Amino acid sequence: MASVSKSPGISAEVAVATGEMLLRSDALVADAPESGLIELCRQGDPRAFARLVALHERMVFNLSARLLGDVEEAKDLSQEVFLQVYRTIQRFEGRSSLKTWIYRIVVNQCHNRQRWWRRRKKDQSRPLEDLTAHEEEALSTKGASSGPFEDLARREQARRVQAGLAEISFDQRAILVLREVEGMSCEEIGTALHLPIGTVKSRLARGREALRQVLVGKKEV
Amino acid sequence: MSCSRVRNDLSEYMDGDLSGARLHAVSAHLESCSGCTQHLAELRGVSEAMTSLPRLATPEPLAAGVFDRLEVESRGPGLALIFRSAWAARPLIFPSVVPAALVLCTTLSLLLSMGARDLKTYHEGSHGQNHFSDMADATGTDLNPFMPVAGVSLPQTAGGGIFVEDLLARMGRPVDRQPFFFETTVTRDGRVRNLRLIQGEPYLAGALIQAMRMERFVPGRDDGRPVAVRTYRLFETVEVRAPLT
Repeated sequence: MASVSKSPGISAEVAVATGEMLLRSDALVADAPESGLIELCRQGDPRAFARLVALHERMVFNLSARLLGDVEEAKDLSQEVFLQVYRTIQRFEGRSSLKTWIYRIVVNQCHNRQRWWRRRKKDQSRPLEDLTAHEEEALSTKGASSGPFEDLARREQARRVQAGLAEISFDQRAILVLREVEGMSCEEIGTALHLPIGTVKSRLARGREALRQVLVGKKEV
Repeated sequence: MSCSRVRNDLSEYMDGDLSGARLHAVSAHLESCSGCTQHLAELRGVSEAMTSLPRLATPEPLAAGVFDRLEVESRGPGLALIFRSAWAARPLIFPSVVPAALVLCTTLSLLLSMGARDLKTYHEGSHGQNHFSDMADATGTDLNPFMPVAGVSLPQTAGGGIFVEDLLARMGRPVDRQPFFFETTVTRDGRVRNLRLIQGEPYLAGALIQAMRMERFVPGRDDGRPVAVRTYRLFETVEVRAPLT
């Protein structure tokens, strides 16, 4: 507002004020603290919701892709997740962070989805392993690797881990991915999934052991 | 401490969540047990393999798809219509209510107008030589079952012509008591038509039929409107005598 009062003419003053308002409005959405963004979303501000989607889409897509092992399915589910966020954000009480709340929605949706997806939409599925080298290069943030052999080894390891994840139970897989891929602490996982921390730790231990057996077993064969 | 108990604790040991006596016990065991050390190394390998999974970028920004779905959801009718409040669904309901009401009104008015007049043509065709232009079956009969018979007044004798009873008193021959049972129609102008002898000797009934055809009635009425009424008449106590010569 200080810049407005310094402006010379009235019309210039209005123009500056309007421009400033627009800029401040954009800045409000872009840099809003989480609570402000949530409040704007509750009021039905589409830009705020688009911002919310942009902030969390990567996390949502990654988590669902790792849990479901399918690109198309993960894309579809990610949209479902944000639809649910849009519908239910009025009920978000703010006791946990928005991100933690979204984690829970993703895990629940993945849990429900995997019961029927493979049966009904098998023709549309596209396993993560099917990503071409070019796509994976484009998709990976760790693309700046040292050389083609390292790339190949990394891709092969990722393929094996993803295939191994498909063989352990969903509950163990969910906690393993949240812990190892998303880097959440056991406390955060417990808050997100409404589980006691002891349950989280024991599932994590069992999940690691199950995946070890799958991967090491394959290695030995 | 046994290997199996140590292996149960290895996950927490890896994460640095063990403390006190358990931490010491596991550390001491690992120093002396190569199997459990190998197991720990494998678990660490699994953990590192997961941590180094490539981070995926979304194939395309999701917001556009989400907004598309939201738009479809907000305007989609179909089954969602059932679960909406009536006021929210009014733009979809009203256009179909109007033609539905028109169809209902037309059907009802057609049914109500299906009195004697509308059925006349059908019965004229079906009755062949016995048709009368002003005749139709009474309502509520087997030929016109659409309307209830309640509310239809019966035809009353109006005089004129020959009284059947007089004729009956004078006709016949002293043979036997002969019942005659007739089905007739009293038309809307009070005439007797469609005489049909249901029971009795036809060769004795000629004069009676002629007499009945000359009878006049005040027609039956349905809601104030004269209607043709099918009647059944039983002449039971006739003492048949010798015919008049």
